Amino acid sequence: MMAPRSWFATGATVVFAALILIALPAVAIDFNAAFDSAGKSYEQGRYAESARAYESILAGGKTSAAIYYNLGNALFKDNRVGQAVYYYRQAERLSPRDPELQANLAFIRRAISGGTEAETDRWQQFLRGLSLNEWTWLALVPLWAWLLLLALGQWRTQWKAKLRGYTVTGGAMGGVTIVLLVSALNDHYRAESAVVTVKESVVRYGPLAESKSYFTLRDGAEVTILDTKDGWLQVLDASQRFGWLRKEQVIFVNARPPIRSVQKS
Amino acid sequence: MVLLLYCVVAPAAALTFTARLLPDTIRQGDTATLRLEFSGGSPKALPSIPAVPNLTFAFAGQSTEWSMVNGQQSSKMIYLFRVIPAQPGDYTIPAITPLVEGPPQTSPPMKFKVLPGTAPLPAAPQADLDKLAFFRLFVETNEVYVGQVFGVEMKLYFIAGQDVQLPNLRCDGFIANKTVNAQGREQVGDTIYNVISFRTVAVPVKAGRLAFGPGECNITIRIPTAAPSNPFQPPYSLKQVSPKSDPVVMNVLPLPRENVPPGFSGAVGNYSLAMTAGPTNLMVGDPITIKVQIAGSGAIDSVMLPAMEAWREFKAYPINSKSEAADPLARSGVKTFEQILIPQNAEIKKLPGVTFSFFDPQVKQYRVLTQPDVPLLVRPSDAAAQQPTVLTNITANTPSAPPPAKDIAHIKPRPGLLADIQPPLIRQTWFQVVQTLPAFVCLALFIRRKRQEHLENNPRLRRAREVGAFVENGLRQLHAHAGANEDEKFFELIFHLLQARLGERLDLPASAITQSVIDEHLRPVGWTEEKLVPLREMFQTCDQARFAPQRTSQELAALIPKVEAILQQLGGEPGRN
Repeated sequence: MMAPRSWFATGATVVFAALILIALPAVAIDFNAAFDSAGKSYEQGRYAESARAYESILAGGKTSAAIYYNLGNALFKDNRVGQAVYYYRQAERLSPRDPELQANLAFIRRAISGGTEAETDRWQQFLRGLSLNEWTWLALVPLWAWLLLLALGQWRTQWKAKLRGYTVTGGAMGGVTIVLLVSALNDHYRAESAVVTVKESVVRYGPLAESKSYFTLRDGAEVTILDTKDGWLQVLDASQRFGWLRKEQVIFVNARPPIRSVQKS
Repeated sequence: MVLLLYCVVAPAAALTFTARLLPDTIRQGDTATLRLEFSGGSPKALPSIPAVPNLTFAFAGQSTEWSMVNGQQSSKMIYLFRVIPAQPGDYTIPAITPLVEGPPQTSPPMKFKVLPGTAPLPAAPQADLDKLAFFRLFVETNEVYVGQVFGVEMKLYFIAGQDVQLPNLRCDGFIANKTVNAQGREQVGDTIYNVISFRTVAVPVKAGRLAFGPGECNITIRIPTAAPSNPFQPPYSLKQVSPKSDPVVMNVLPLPRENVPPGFSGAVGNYSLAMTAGPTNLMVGDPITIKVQIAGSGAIDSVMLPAMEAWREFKAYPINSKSEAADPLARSGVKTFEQILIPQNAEIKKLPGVTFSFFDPQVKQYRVLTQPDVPLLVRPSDAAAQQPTVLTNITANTPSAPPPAKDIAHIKPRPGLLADIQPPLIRQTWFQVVQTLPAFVCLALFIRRKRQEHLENNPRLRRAREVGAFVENGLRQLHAHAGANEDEKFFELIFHLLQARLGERLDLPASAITQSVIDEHLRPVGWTEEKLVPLREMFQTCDQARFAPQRTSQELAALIPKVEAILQQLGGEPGRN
């Protein structure tokens, strides 16, 4: 028979677990309510307010591709094109094949470049067709299968011959997918990219305010970071021109979303 | 076209005489002014005023006014008399007939009212105010097309005033531009007015019979009063008025729907087109600067350069534009567009010329201006030398390619699956650790298998382990037999343990092991008597027990340590695998 102290501990555990289960739907409802409220503000043309509402969801530590996408839309409508592109890129990492997302990115890139956007090579397009997590799962499934088949063969040596074909196939697939995963990681992290977030950013020949200006980049232009020095970034734009601009004029695509406390309006 | 202007020609050189009493109502104690004006001549003598009981007329002076109206010079002789009432009442100043050259001139009788000293003066009737200031609206033409620019002139006429404000013009259905004002003087009837002219242009944005105006202009006018008793007080009062013009009905025609040229963007007027492009000898990837100038009359600021589908083989940068008005009202001017294009391949031989279309309201037809193509020599760059011809927008060649989007896609209605904001799985430590598990499992099973194979390939080792396990188990059973006082089983087990251990050590079958093994196999390999004696005794004890098995549990248990020592001595610790 259980001691009274054990009864109390068991009862407290049950009550605590029940409270968590009850609270979880309430938490989910809060996010959904915030999402719907943000969408309503967007429909009413209050884009700044809509953006703040989506940011409040991010401040809660939760996200999804749809939230990033909608936030990008609200920022674009609020004439903050650079920040819109940044959030579209975050959404692209979670949902790279979303046609609406790709259409919006293409729309903005055309508007900035004044024509068709620069073509990425086929290999990059292939790698960016899946998110990093999708590549990870794609590599791990055959890899695990291969290792488990190997383990099975070690455990039951009499099955080794029968499993040989599957083991080799699993190993080959695992190897290929591992290579693809590594390539995707390399594409994701090798070249740091950033988005201009000011109306006009003057790109200079050197990392000095006195350096002669070379060209200007508009809000929303995407650049590749080549070098950094003393608050300046050497960047390469879509037209393969490179120069130096101020670091505070861009936001890095690989940076975590700038979650800040959002004051209710 | 009807040009609406108030244009009054000054009368001929014949003398005209007018008499005016300002004001015609005063309070007792104040005075009024009788103003006799002679235009085109002067009287032969000082005009005499007929006597009126209780009114005194005092000559206050004379002056001459010169004016130039529509190029004609004229002068006016003015005689002023102060009218001083002796008491309140209604008076009539009879007709005045001055002595002049030519036919006699007579003024009509004038009513004059003198109120008691504390009575309020009546407000100036609107008709009188309208004579002091009025506002007129003129348009260049009453019939225009949608988008056609037309001139507008608003004129404020006033005799004396100040603090003129910019007019408000009601123009629903039109877009009006900024105003340019000018001042002058005009004669309307027999009165010379100060005129402020406000000129602007307007553009109708919808068709139909639309009311343009009215216009309204605020001004503070001076209303003459009786001569004040205080000489420092001005002889007028100030009153803010807002004269309003009548609206003008405009007939706004819609643009013709037939023969609308492709690419027509709504420009109405009369324009010319010019285009320059350079450099024309360049490499793939080098920029060409295109300058397009559209000049002429019309709403030049709103002219847009049409989208050039023929330039899709070029990468285009955003267009910069600049307008320069040729006149203050911006009715005509030049708009310059500058765009940078970059050829994407060396197959390009020309830059298609710009096409601009507009509607000319003068001829009531659409017109299309086209610039000739600009020949280009595009050389392949080093990196592009081996590339085949690639269109920048392949989908444009597809017959079913949809037109480019004009706005971003709408927001998503559902948030989808929410997750914590965190790095990709591959970069999370716990995930990396989990991925090592199958490898460890595989490795562990591999090691296990190798050990098994090693055992299988070494019978003696296998036997040694089996015997070790047998001995370990046997020793436990000895305790059980001893506790149960099962001496027969006890000694039998000891015998089997000795057989197993000795057989394993000597690589002989266990069943072949007897006491004789001690002398036959152990002594020759160097076992000393010290080691052999306990073993021999244990064998003898087991033999004796067959015939005399009566022993107590304690006696049996006392033998177990000896058995353990013997077995340990024979080859290893009990239970070794």
